Amino acid sequence: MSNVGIFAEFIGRKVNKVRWKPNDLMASTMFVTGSWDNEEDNVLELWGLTSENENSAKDFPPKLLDCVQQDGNITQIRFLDNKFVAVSTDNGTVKVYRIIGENEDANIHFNEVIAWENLHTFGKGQRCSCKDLAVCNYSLATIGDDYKLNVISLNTKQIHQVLEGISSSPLTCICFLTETEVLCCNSLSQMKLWDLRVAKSSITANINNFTQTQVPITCVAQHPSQKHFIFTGSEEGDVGVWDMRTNSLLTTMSSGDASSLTEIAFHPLEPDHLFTCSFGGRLLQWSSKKSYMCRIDPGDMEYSNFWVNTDKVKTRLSINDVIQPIYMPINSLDIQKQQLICGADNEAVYFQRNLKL
Amino acid sequence: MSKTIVYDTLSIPDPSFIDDEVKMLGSWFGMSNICAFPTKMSTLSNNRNSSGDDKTERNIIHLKLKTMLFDPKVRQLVNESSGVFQELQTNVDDPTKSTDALYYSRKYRAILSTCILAIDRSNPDKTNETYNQYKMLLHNLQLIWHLCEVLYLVTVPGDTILNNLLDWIKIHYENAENQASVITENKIAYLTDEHIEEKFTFYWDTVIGLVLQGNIDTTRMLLSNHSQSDTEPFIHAIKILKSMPTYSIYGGLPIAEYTSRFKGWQSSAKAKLECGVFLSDSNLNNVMKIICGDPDAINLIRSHCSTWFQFLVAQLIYTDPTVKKHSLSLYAHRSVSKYYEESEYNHMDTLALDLFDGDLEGFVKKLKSYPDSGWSSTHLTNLLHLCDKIEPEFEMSEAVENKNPNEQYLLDYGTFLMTHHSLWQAGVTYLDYCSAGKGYLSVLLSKLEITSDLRVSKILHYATARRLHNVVSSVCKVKGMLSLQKSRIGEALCWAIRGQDSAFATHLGDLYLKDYVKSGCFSNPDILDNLGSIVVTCDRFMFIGKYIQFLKLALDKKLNEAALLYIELLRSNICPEYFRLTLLMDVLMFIDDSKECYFNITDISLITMRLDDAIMESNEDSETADQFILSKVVKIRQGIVQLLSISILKKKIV
Repeated sequence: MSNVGIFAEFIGRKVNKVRWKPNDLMASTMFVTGSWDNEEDNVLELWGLTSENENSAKDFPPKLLDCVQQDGNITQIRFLDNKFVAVSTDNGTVKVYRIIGENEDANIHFNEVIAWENLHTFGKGQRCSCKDLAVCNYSLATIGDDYKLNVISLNTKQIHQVLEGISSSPLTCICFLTETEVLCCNSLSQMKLWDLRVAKSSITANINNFTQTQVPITCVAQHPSQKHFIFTGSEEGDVGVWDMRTNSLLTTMSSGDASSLTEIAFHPLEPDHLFTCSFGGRLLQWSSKKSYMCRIDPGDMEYSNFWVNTDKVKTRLSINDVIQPIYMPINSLDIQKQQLICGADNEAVYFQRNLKL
Repeated sequence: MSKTIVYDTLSIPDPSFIDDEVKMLGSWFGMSNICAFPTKMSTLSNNRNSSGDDKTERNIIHLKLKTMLFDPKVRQLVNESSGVFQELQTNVDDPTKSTDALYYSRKYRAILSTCILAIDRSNPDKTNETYNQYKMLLHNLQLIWHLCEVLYLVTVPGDTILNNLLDWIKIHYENAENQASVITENKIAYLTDEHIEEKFTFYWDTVIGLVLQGNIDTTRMLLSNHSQSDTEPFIHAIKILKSMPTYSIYGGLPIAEYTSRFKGWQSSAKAKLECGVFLSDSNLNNVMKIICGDPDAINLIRSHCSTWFQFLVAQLIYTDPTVKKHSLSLYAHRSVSKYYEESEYNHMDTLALDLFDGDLEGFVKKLKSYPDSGWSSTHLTNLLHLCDKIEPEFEMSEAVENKNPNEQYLLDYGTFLMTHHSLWQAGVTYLDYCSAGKGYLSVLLSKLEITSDLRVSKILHYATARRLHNVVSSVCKVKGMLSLQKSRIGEALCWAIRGQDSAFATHLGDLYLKDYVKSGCFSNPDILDNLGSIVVTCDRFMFIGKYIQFLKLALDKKLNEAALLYIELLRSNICPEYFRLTLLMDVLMFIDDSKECYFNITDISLITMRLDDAIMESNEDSETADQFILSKVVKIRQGIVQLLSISILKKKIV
């Protein structure tokens, strides 16, 4: 565990989501945070890293660039590309903002492109949460407490497809497997796979965790290079590895921290490293890569099948704390290039400049 | 009997309270708010006259606690310190980790400084009165905390405390040093031969300020910048300052040796002063008087000090530079009485005096009333408590309850934070470390308003980790009932499972079964097909699980297995009454063209017995057995007869 290069900034609101603004070539210097549990005053904020002078690298403390009021707790933030960002709230609203960058306008700010108020609704003015939001090539998929799955195409700016009653227990998270397949998880540890090409709402696969325990799945991530591997985080702190070719659970891994996982993410370029954060205030790095000390055999074909080999997972996986445990739930994390950012319930965002990969 | 402490008094200037007959009543509103309202305490005769024609407006006054800590800028103080607090508590329990009280004290002070900086940044032109006030409060707090650290947490060999006190004064009263750097950095005056003491009117104030902080090097630098610096008096003065012996703990000089050197140096300076060497410049003469520890200079020193403790330290430099910690109390009292003509102490003065007196208990008690809602008293008391500077039982004689003040403060502060819509999570941290905290938490957590699912998941997380099952079950029950109101049985079932509420689950199971009786199929197949652990904890779901399994077998035409399960279901008698007939109707499934025999004679007698039970019960319930039930019974009876005939044909059992 190293403390070197970790910075914290207290922003005065509990952070539920944090995302780097993507940048193709260089390390990103802007990020977006979404707050929660601040009565009526929940905001989406855009931050820019600052540098003391022209030559030094941009760093913490960040500078607040723009702040947009939202109508509820922010449940998810996803960037569509390096300009457009989609935001969902627990009031059932989904909005897409465009970030007006420095070369377009003197002050960098959000510009609302399109908004769907009450995309998820119970009617009668009751609050209905939009639980999660997934993006894939300018399509958006949202799930909400009303058990609806909306597929929105951003090219036409229209709701493309609505699947109703897709579950009978609360939905928790969603992710695109391919452009046409959507995976929804619910709080009874079930996963359902939907094929969007099939006309009427039909399940292509209904995957259950047959371990008798019905622990809610709280977050889901897809392996960046081996797309058939799906990783889920549960409320009891363990990570499940699923093979979507056979629709089966390969293995579960546990870190010893039994609190609910809040987000699970792979390093986008180095898929050997998985990151999780939890209610217990720990941000963990799960590395499947062989240690640098070992001799790397170039012809090691087994290596590419790491996750299938349960024994290997058990023996070779190493788990390390990225930042010191902070004793408060960490709600979100995001990685871009070598830099990691996470947001927690102590109203702080933490920034790690150089990840050890 | 518990002691009542009055923390604050305020008057409400509302006209409705002016009336003599009106009494003020109040009630708690939420966790931190009070509703106050006027009530007319009238006698009966008055009542008759006044009823109906009372036109005066009556206000209900909503009192809300406004505190510095809940300001968005100051919230970082709460959050960051709660992290340090938690770290400290965990490290105390862990023998492998070091718990250096000084390290943590400095950490807390660093948090204070960061917060002051943040306030400064948001209030650059110092126009916001509230922020100016907050800044002042935090600044004073930092000062007093630092003094406490210097006196109690820093260990000084030989107890010669003066150097530490000087550091403390220098950090918090930086005015003189700042002015000095303004003067010395001004190169124009140097180049243009201007008279520096005329250009900067605060020149001599600065010099005296520096001398009073023992900052001799900078004083010398300033003096040599003076336009007269090459004249005799200035050369002498600079020489004297240069030769002033400084004491350093690690300098290897024994205290006695140092004292004699200091005395020698001062007497030689005094000799020069008495010869009138410095008389040509009255200001310089004053400076030298201070340095010689001349009693005449006391008034001068006093006028240059803004607080009595600054005054105390300034005097000590030139009268008793090797002062010991234990004699500080005496000096402190002397300085206070010299500094104030009348006893007009403010809060800060008494706090500092308690510290110099070594009365930590009194200090901590007074700190409690510092207007920071208990932030400082909680953290500082906790820190002092952990390094055994405060006896845990010091209030035992008074306190009836077996609580030490450390815990009492934690409890107060934690409860106070729990009232905030966002900082409640930090409050949990503090309540965790009091012995009575669990009871408080169980009440406060279940009182939190359920505003969002995110919040529910956090509340459940805290409650589960602390094994507060009553909180878990009550929150789950509330959420479950809300789902049920929206007639979402599946969602309600999830909450029942989560809260391990088998009574609620039974109710939900009944809903499913009654729905089946009505419609002939189960809703929410995705849940009921994968019931999981609920079947073990709740009888109703055990039945549903088995019954669905039975239906599946029957549908797949695995009638042999289905028959076994069917008999098992009937024998165990877990079927609820209202479902009996429906279950018995299923006997008709076993009659098909193949004339296969699935039941033996005991099975059939069991079926008959259950049918009789069902008929008896339905007769008890309602006198008029309705036609529908009767037709069902007839059908079942026909079925049983058919089954019996098949089995007789097949097996020839008589």
